[in-house]
Amino acid sequence: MSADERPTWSYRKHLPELFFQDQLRVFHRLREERGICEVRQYQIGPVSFSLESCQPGFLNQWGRALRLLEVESPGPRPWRIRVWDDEEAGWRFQRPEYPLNVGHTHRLVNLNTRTVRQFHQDWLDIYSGVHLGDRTGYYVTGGLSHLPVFERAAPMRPLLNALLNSEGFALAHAASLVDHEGRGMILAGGPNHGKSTTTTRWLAAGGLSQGDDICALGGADPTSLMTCQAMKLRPQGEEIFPGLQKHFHAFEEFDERKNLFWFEDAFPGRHALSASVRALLLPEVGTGPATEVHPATPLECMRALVPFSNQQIPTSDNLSGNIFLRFIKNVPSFRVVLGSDPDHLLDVLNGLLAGQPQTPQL
Amino acid sequence: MPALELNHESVSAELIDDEVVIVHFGTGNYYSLRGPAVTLWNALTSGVPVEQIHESLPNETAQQRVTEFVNHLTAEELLRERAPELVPASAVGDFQWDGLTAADPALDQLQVERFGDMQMLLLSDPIHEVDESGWPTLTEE
Repeated sequence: MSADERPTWSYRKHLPELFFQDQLRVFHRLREERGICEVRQYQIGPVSFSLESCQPGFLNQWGRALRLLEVESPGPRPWRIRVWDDEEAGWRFQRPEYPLNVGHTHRLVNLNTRTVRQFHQDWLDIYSGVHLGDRTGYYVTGGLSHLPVFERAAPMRPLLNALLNSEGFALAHAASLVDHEGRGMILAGGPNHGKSTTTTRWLAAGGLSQGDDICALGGADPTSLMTCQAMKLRPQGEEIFPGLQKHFHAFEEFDERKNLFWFEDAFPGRHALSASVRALLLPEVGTGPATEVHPATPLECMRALVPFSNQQIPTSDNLSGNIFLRFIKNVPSFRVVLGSDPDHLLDVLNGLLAGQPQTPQL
Repeated sequence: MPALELNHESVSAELIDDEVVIVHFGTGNYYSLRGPAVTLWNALTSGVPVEQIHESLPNETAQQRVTEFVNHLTAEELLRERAPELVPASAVGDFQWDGLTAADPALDQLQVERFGDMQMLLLSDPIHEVDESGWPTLTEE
């Protein structure tokens, strides 16, 4: 055999693609067998995608969490994500026995190329992948019925993040505050920094938001996008917002009791699908009544935004990191020491949105 | 020493105001550069060869400090050897290397601040190496 006649197939080069296509074949067989395919269309900023299932009612598990993102017709260049429940459909691909992954969410070892991104979340036995070239993807669950209904969209984050990355956006662990003119501010930081309470106060005062947990950041002009409508409050929120209690669904998370509520129940019509970001705020809980504003350094912003986002939405590359650092570069940033006086807090926040980062008199 | 480039696959870096913020997603460390370190970082990531930087320095002591700085950045895997096809001038692009100014040779302040307090949150993929034989054989360590 001459050099020209040798097969050009390369184990390393083609295996990720073959693995990806083999997953999709399960979906195609299911569709042929059942002769049905339910489709729902969604839009997150520039990312248009459909979820397609051959299992009746399967898409309903994401219905509530993604409802505010649902659209009737796809946008330009939509992604097609085929989803199925492994247990119901029957798994037709031999699962590897070696340790592909450790921990929370990881890429499939060496099953990624520049065009194929694949993930395995071993704690839920979920496989997912996207093909950046032909804008398709798969999402195979081992059954999500044991998860609380409001958590069932969370495992889809690595997949959605890959789609968003392709458009210059990244999922961030952050809350957002938006006014009625579409101007927004992002609250970033770790647990117990006051993101949820501040967001709920803002909503209770008539403002808009994109949620208190996960939103997408990026764009040439700094922009934030809504990605989910579930909000969470710790038990102290019951006292601060007694009027919301009727919407609360209590649940345990890491041995801590929290209250979840749906945005559309508690604050109907007050979601903002997109906002022009005017400031990045790093909140911390203060001890006095007044809220104080201080300039934040780039390193403080990085610490507040990148590590916690990376933990919540682990990725197989540093695309999100690049997007976050560019975002920090382009947005004025402030440390906000939250005071207990809600009116003063709102004065400060409105001032920041208007480009006046001063601490007003209490 | 050859021309260098950012370790693009693992590292995110951005000049924000007068500080370069760098995150290494492979090690979970993050870094801050200020002052003359920013000037040198911009030159190095734009493809200016270390030799050219050395030529612009006033004495051997300054050259030694720059060498140590560069060695530190490469040891941390923030920078790596630039691909041969990009060497030398084509990679420099629009960046104009004017050398360090008279004020800059405060090179004793040339330092890389490294932080490891967020490693657990930043390290999302501890298994990322495979043996030469390819998938699915992992490296022994």
